[in-house]
Order: sequence, then structure tokens, then C-alpha cells
Amino acid sequence: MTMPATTDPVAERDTAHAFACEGLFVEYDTKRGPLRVLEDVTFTCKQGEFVSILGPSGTGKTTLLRILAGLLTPGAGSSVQFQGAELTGPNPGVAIVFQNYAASLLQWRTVERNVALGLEGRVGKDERNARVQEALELVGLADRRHDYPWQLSGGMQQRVQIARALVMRPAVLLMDEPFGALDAMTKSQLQDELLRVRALTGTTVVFVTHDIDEAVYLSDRVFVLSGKPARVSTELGVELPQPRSQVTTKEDPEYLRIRHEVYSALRTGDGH
Amino acid sequence: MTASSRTRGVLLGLIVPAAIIVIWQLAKSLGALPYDNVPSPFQIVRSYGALIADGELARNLGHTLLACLGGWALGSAIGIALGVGLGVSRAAWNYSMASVEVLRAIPAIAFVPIAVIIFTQTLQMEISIATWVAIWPVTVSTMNGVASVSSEHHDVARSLRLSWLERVTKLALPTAMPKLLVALRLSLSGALVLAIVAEIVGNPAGIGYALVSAQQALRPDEMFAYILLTGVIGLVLNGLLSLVYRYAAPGVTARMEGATGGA
Amino acid sequence: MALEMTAAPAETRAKTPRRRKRARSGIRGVAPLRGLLPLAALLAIWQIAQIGRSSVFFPPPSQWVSLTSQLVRDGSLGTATGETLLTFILSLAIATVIGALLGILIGRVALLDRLLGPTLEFLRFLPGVSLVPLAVLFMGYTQSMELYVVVFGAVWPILLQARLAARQIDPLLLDVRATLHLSRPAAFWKIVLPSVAPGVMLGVQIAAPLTLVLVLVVEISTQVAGLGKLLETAQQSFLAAQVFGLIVVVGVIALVINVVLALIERRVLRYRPPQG
Repeated sequence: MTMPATTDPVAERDTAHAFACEGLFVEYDTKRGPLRVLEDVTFTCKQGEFVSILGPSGTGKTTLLRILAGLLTPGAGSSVQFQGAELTGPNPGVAIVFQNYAASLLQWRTVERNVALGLEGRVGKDERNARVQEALELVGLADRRHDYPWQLSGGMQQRVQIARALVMRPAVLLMDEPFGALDAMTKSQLQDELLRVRALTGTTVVFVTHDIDEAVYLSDRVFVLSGKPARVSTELGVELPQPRSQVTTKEDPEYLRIRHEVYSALRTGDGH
Repeated sequence: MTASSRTRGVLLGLIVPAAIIVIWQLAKSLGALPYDNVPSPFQIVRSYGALIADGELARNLGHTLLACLGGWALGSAIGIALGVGLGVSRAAWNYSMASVEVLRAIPAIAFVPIAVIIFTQTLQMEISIATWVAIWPVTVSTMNGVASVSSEHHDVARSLRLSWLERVTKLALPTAMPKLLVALRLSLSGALVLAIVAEIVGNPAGIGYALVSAQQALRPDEMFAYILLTGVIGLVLNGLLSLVYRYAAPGVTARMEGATGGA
Repeated sequence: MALEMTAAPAETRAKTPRRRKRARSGIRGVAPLRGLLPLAALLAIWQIAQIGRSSVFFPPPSQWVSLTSQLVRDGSLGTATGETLLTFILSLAIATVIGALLGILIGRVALLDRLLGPTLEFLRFLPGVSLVPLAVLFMGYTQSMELYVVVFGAVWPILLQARLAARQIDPLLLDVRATLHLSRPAAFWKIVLPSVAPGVMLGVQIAAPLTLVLVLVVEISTQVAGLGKLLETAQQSFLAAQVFGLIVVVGVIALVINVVLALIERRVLRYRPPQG
């Protein structure tokens, strides 16, 4: 079931929505003249939703995510609202998990201290230790707290990054192709862990990926980004039973139908 | 490496020096090396005894070490501060790096005469030169290290909204650590050399001066004693530094071994 | 020992072939000329602050010029520079040849390496400067004494780098030698030497500043000849302005040496793909 690609902006501007973006565009100055990466992107995300941003590599999904993270300022005239207020920079209610886990973790800190990075100097020592313990248990790495990143597998390192994000108790978790560098088995493991953690914490998730299966499997809604410059070509609701299962959900005819629709949207969006 | 092969390696390595000493002593005893300028190993050992007994060795050693370590500590502190400043700010780098390069290229020895004029023949003069020498390798390495904080780490710092100070202490300095540790070793040897040079040329105190006065008193046995001493000092200081590195910064070693990420 | 030397020389490749003043490139490329501003500002302020006053310790740059030009006029600066440069070039050249040959020998003959290893490790920490008084004792105040001392001090970085490089020659290259039935000397010139050249070059770049320092130390302490002698004379006469002027001269020479070495490196190693 597709929803209209645009929604009434005024009615959406309340705190029931984690993000509300209107008319986003991003333009870079290059040697060959201005390059528009994103054009007229309208994107909304309700609290508690799991939303995927899907598109082929290089479309600008990461650019959009960085805007939501407050790391990139969109062009003049764009509107980015977080919980009803204009976003002016990285917001404490938003945490981001990057794709390159090895490069994002601090190699010289133990797992425990990596997770604690955002809390140091901000909360008392006892509270900090308690929250770190809680986050590590949530991702199942409490027994590796004293290890260094290089002693962990790729999947575990990514979980440390997730713990570091979750320890901040964010309203929204942004994830930039977090499982892209992992093998298929670890990937599906982490996908299910992510869903489990989300069910426990109720965090909103905005998930960027180029993997159609992943997007449909995990999300409540999928935004398809395509074209040059990229726009939101389609917005699809995913109404599949929860909790999702790697085996049964993927055999559900509804899953296959949505998947088919997403696939077509990607192809037509690119004009191929 | 097994313990036995390691001991064998050590023994093998000691053959040459041992052989040299033996042959040398024999040559002197048998009159094959009649030059008065060349003392025999026995004479060198005897002069060690004399120097230690009247406290002269300890005094000179203490003085040189004080100049060396004092200059090294001061120079390294200044170098780290300077390196952080040049590393974090592109503008600061653009507007001062060329000056750093020029100053760094001038051999520190050239500054000894002016230091002698300003500070006269004192310990401060030696420390000033040792400091000057120590600053530059530390500055350059710290700067390179700080500037090489990855964009991913910058992103993490921004998304966690770390303060400026937090970024320096938690990201920049740890990133710079490996290069910094190497530079500290370099600047230590530089400080030692320049302290001795300053003593030979400018300040009648310490090992450098002991060498010169032994030369003028025609005491080659004392000279050899001091020369070997400087070699030992270099070796020991380096070894101590390595030990400190291993115990104070194990994370850095771990990181250097495993920075390629998990399996 | 390596004074003031990081791995920077190998990274000295300008990203764009612009005519910038040579500055070693670290992680940010070539340093822009405007970086000389602080230095220029310092000199300017110094000049202005000291005009009309006669400072024993900090004479203004204008006095540096006037006092040093005296030396130019009576020819002593020219002679001294020539002497220093001659000693420098000669010592570095001799040290390179000895260091490279010995380094290769030790590096390729495992037994020698094991026998001499610990001795070398000790000797590399021996500050070459401490041998100056000894050399004076043995050989008196002569120019050959200078050469001996400086060569002895300068040989170590080159020897160590050559040894390292010689150890690391790709065994495949030695198979090539067998395949082509190259004689020992031919193999040496065509395979071993070129393989070791980059390492030797690095050693030379590390040794160069060291060599200059040693030359100056010998000259300052023995006053045999050269710029060091002029420096010491100026110091003893409390002519701070002349000392500063000579420091500038020494600095210029050091910079020129670095540039020349970088050019030589580029020439000798021009087959290598651009790095960095």
C-alpha cells in the first residue's frame, strides 16, 4: 500500500514526529560548477517508527542522514525539524552509528571506555557505569568490556558502536549502512538484534541501506531515494507482522509483493 | 625465539667486543701498540676506578644528565603544545609552518655561541640549547599526529558534541601518540648530544668538559672512560624510555599491533 | 643517531608542481609561504624595538647585516663557507660509501650481522661529538682530523639504513640473478645496489644534518677552520650581531643542503611512483 509521496507539512509539525524535512536540497561547488546531490526531499518519520532510506550506492542517502544528524547543513530554504523545532546542529536526542566501525571506534580505548565516550564529564561516575553496563548488556557484550576493538570481530565492533549510541538514550538512532561490511550470517544476526533492542527501548530508527531485503525486512516504512539529483521517488508502508523472522517473514506473500514494488520503484526512479 | 637461541645470539654478539678488548690488551702488554695516546683496557678500567672514587664521574654525569633531561622535558612540553596548536588549526598551520621549517633546519649547534653570550657559561645555557633541539621533532610529530585524526573520528566527536578540550585530550593526543613516542626518543638523543656539545664548546662542566680537560691533560684513558660512558648513557636512556612506553602506554602498543580492525 | 629527523624527507613530494619554497611535507603537503609571516614579524619587531639602543644580547637585524658584511668584505666568510662545505661534502661522501658498503656487507652476511649486531646497537648510541676531543688528541688540529671525526659520526645512520635495506632485498630478485647467470660483481651493481639505494638515500638524509652539526662542532671547539671558527671567534669577542648573522648563514646553508639532497633523491630514485 503506497502512501502519497508528500504529506501536509503544517499538520506534521508536532512532536509526534521525530523528523520532518521539507524541500531539502544539498548543493556542492565543484570544479565543473555546482553539483546538486539532493533535490526537494521531503521526509517524515514518526516517533517509534523504523524507517529505511533505500537507494543505490552514491545517491545521497548518507548525505540525507548526515543532515538529520546535524553534521551537514542543507541549502538555504530547506527545513529540517527534529521534534518540532528546527535542527541547528547535532542534537542530544539523536545518535548515529557509522558504517566504518573500525574507523569510528577509538582503537586505543577498551570497549567499555568507547561506549562511555559520550557520557564522560556529563553524568556522574556511578550513573555512567550503570548506563554503560546497561548498554553493553543490551547488545550482548558485557563480558567483553575490557577488550580492545582489535580483539573483536567486525560484528562485535559494530555492536560496540551501537552500544555507544544507545548509552546516550537517544530518541532517534540513525544508522548509515551499519551492516554493509559484514558477512551475511552476522548481518542477519545483527538485524534481529537491532529489532529486539528496538522493541525493548522503543527508539525511533532511521536506517540507510542499499539492500532491498534488509530495508523491507526491518522497516515500518521505506523511502526510496533515486535519480540525479536524488529525490524521494517513492514512500511505502510495510505492514508485516511483528516480531519479524528471517525465515517466515521472508516467505510471506506480502513481503514479496512489497519487495517487488520497491524493486520497480528503484528501477523506474533511475530511468533504467 | 627460544631462550637458548636467544642466549646464543647474545653470546655471539659479545664475541666481537670481548675479542677486541682481549686483543687490544695483549697488544699493549706486548708492546705492539707503543703509542702513548692509546691506553690499554686495564688503564681505562683503572681510570674509571679513580674517577668514581673521587666523585668526579658522578658529578660530571649528574651535570650532563640534568642539562639533557631538563632540556628534553621542557622542549617536549613546548613541542607538544606547539604541535597540538599547529595540528588542530589549519589556519595556524598555514600561517606558521614555513617558519617552523626554517627554524628547524638551522643546526642547533649554531645557537650555542649566542646562548653563551646570553646565559654565559652556565647550566641554563646548556638547558636552553637542549630545549631548543628537543622542541622540533616533538612539534612536527605531534602536529602530524593531531592532523591525522580521521574524518570518522571527527564525525564521532561532532555527533557526541565533544568540547574543544575533549577533542584534544580524547582524540588528537591519543592519535598522535605513536608518532609522539618516536619523536620523544629522537629529541632525547638530541638533547644528550647537544648538552655534551654545549659542554665541550661553552660550559666548563659536565662530561663534555671532562673530555676536553682530559684531552688537554693528555689523559687518553680518562677520555676513553668518558666516551664509553656517553655510549652507555645513550643506551640506558633509550632502554628506560622503551620500558616506560611499554608500561605507561600499553594501549598504544596494542593499537599499533592491531589497528587493522577485528577478524 | 638521528637528530631532528622524522620520516619527512621521503614524503617531500609537492602535490602540485608549483614554485613554492621548499618545505618538508608532512601530512598536509607543502607549507605555504605565508607561514614565514611569524618569522618576518619577529625580525621586524626586533628591528624596531632595538633601533637606537645598543643591546649586547639582542642586537637588531640591521646590525647583523653590517657586522657580518665585514666578514664578507675581508673574504673570511667566503673562505670559511668554502671550508665548511668542503668538509661537509667530503665527509658525507666518504661516510656514504663506507656506510653503504659496510651496511650491505653486514646486512647480507648473516653471520656478520649476528656477530656485529649488538656492537652496532651500542655504537649507534655513542654520540659522535664525544669523539672530537679524542680525535684532537690523536691527530692534532688538522683538517684530516676533522674528516675522521665527522665521517665516524656520520657513517652510522647510513650503515644502519643500508643494513636494513640489504636484509630486506626481495629473495625473488636474487633468484633473478641465478636465472640470468649474473656474476657476483654484476649482481652487486645491477641488483643489490639499486635495491639498497632508497635505504641508503634515507640514511644520507638522516646523516646530512648530523654531518653538518659535527662539522660545526669540530670547527667551534677546535677553531681549525670554517664557519664554526668564525662563530666561536665572534662569541669570544661578544659580537652577538655577528653571531646572529652567522646563524643566518648557517641556516641558509642547511636549507640549501636539504634542497639539494631532495633533488638528488628525486634524480636517483626517479623510477619510483609518486608517493603520498
